[in-house]
Amino acid sequence: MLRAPNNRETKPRGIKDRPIRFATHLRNVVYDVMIDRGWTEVDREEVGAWDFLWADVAWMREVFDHTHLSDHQRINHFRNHYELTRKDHMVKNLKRLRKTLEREGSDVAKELDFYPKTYVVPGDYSLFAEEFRASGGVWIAKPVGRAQGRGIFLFNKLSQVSEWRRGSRYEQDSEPGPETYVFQQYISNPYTVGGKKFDMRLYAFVTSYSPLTVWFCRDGFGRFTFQRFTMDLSDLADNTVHLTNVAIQKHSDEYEGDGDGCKWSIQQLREYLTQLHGTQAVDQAFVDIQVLVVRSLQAVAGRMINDKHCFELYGYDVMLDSSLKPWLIEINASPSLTADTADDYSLKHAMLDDMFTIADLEGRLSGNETTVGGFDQIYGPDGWVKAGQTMLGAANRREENLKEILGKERK
Amino acid sequence: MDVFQSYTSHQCQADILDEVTKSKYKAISLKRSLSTIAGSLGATSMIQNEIFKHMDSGSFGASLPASIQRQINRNNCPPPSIQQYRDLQQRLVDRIHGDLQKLSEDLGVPFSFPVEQPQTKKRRQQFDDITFRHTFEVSEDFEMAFMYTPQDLLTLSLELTSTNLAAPQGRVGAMKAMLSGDVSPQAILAAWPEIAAAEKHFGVDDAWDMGFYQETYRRGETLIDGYTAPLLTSVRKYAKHGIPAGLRRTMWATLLGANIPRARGDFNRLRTGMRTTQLLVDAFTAPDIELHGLDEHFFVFESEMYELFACFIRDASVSRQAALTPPLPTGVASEAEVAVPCGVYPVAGFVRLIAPFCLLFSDQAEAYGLFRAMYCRYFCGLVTVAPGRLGLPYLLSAVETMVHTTNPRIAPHLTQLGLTVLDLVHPWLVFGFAGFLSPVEWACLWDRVLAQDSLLPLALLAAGIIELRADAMLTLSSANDVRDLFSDFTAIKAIAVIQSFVNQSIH
Repeated sequence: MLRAPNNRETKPRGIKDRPIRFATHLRNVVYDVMIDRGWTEVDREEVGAWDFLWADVAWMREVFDHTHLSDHQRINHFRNHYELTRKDHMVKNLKRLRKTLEREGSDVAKELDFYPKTYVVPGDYSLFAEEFRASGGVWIAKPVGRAQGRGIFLFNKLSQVSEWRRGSRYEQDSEPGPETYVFQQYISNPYTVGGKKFDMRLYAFVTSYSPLTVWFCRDGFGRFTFQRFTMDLSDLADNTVHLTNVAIQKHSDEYEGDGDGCKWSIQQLREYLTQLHGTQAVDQAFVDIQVLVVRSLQAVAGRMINDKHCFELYGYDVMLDSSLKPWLIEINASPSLTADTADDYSLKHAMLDDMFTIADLEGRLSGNETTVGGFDQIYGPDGWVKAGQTMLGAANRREENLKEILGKERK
Repeated sequence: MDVFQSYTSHQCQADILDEVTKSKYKAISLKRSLSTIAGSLGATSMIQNEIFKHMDSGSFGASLPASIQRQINRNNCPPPSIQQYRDLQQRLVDRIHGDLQKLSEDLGVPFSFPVEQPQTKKRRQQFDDITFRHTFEVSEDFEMAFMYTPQDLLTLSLELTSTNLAAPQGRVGAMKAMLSGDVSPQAILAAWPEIAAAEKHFGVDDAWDMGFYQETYRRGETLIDGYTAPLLTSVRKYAKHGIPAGLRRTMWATLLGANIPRARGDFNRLRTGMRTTQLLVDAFTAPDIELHGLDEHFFVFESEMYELFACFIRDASVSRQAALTPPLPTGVASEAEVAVPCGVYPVAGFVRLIAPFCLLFSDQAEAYGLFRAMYCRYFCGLVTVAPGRLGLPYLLSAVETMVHTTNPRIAPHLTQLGLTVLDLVHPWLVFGFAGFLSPVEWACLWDRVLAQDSLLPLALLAAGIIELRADAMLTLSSANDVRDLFSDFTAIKAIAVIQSFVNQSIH
């Protein structure tokens, strides 16, 4: 891929003479973080008034294109982030990257083997049906446009999804077609702890797609189901067995509290896995996760409308199977920033605060840092920062690091 | 001596004979292999515990040889007589038994009764589900009054008095009996040179010294590689510097003399029994787990903990094999009439002892075998008022002595706030720091306990933590603040604290 020339010289020097003005409609952890940094809130309707806008996706869709932004202004989304976050776009982008690499004869192609077989329906229904007849098994159906586990279900017979068969054939039908879904081969051998399945929520921060610059947070958490995992066909319909979204688990019969007892930190997870499988296997698995993150971003880098005003925080949902191989479940451009528990709050607060430090609206960084707070830069204009190694799940020494890089300026 | 006539001894002999016949050992190699076989079948450990049990019951009496008598009286101050301990234990056991009998009458439920089998096939399938649990109809004001807490154990320990009226010097603190002998840092370093400051340890140095990590791991692997029964002495020597995580299951099994294949059979049998018979004390299990077992590390293993706990309570072999078993309640003729087949009433929070095994060992039957062996050897002394160096009073006395000797300002300051050192440390000791330290640190600590075959590392850690936070504590002016100060274990690295405490006076 072509790399853009190093544009550090054109980077604005930062706002040092006054408090930074922000606008947002949210009232959760990110709001607290911005206030705690000493920023002041302004009305988001007045475009010229804010230095930073924490926008929602609707604003990006409807208003961004008609808005002129000054050099110093920043926004928390890229215009077409859906290339990454909508499941149907992600599938297409990954397939395209894979084909390109295979044509070039690169063996990076096998590093893309982190996405289960996926088909967008009703469009590709016939392709899906062919695959299903050949391999069978259990598949998972997810709506492309919805979140928090809504509308997801598992199936193991074509008759259960016949609704999507009609859409591709009867395009002239006056009735509205079925909702766009992806059908994906279900990972039926997830890694379980105490018999329970889990997935990992990880945070990646992209400051630019051209050149691709990615920061990866050492912190994150694993979300467990309350029910023991089983591939028993009679339990296929029970989403509390199969889906780890907190929203789903909150409605489980077992759920009693406030989200407590549902999560492990990534450090705890890494420690537990290391106890059972040894340092080498677990290190390799975590490096593979880091590679997964970067490859998924490379897949869309060419199509993303890069904009120096934009940066974006992604919530990655990754799952390990029983052989410790990581699988990409989904990417969120608006990861949840509300907190269930005190630990949750401190994790998100620290993570967002470090994110803003990297975004550097105050112009305090030199540009040569590779670790800021709990984030490590994993990919930059010169490619991999430290290939083959990862700090994911390592100790997060953000206070020491921030003192070092910001010195007395840190408030 | 009774030991040779005991059930345990007969069983061990039979096992060894079985093994020898099965494997067709040649006569020449038999002599050399016998101790190894005995170790691998857990026979050595069982006989050892049996001997402790008989010593504990005082049945040797005056017939002990003089050399052993001297060993018992090593600290020149005759310890409280065995009878004192027995009396205290008896009091506790009688109280619990009485409360359980009353509960049984109030609820109209016997100590043990069969579980009702579901009638329909579908319900039977659900019934066989892994997460089987007993349901228990109790009234809303049901309280766990019939069980006991670590505070009860502390109160009883404080009642022990030394039979020597001339109190030895240097005795301070709440314990009336001086039980610990010489536990000064110098004495410990002399006995255990492995914890000198210069020595590298797993749990401390492996994080940053890759060479040490790899070399130690390789040495450990060679020790256990290919041997069904690794040599106990070499494993013990190795474990004094800590055990890498991947080797722990084999090494702990060797150090504890745990017979895992037999434990597997027992566990499966007990699990089936769990589903056919319900005990009155099962009402205790789920609330205990909810109150004490569901912290951030262990919540995932709720069903495993329940199963291990329920199986343990039903395991009659525990009362035979444990080094220390509480007496039968007064008026009860045999073990069959007691509410707990395992012979021990679980202290409140007992699940904390079980939880780390569920996390560290993914094979449930293996976790059960190791937990049971650990209980029979060490935990049994912590959860009863037990005599000797494997008992709780010994540890309490040791901590008090250590804290006072290294920092005499602490005890008076605490007294001003209405606290004693033992108020702070006794929960840590009763549970062997399980549920306080992070699971990895807990495992590192118990590596040392197993390697040295002594509970003193627990006392060293308790004293070390107090010393670590002494300066901060001396500035506090309320008992609650002090309790808060000592409630945070997230940053505690057990072995580093112990090494720092023991080596401090050398500087």
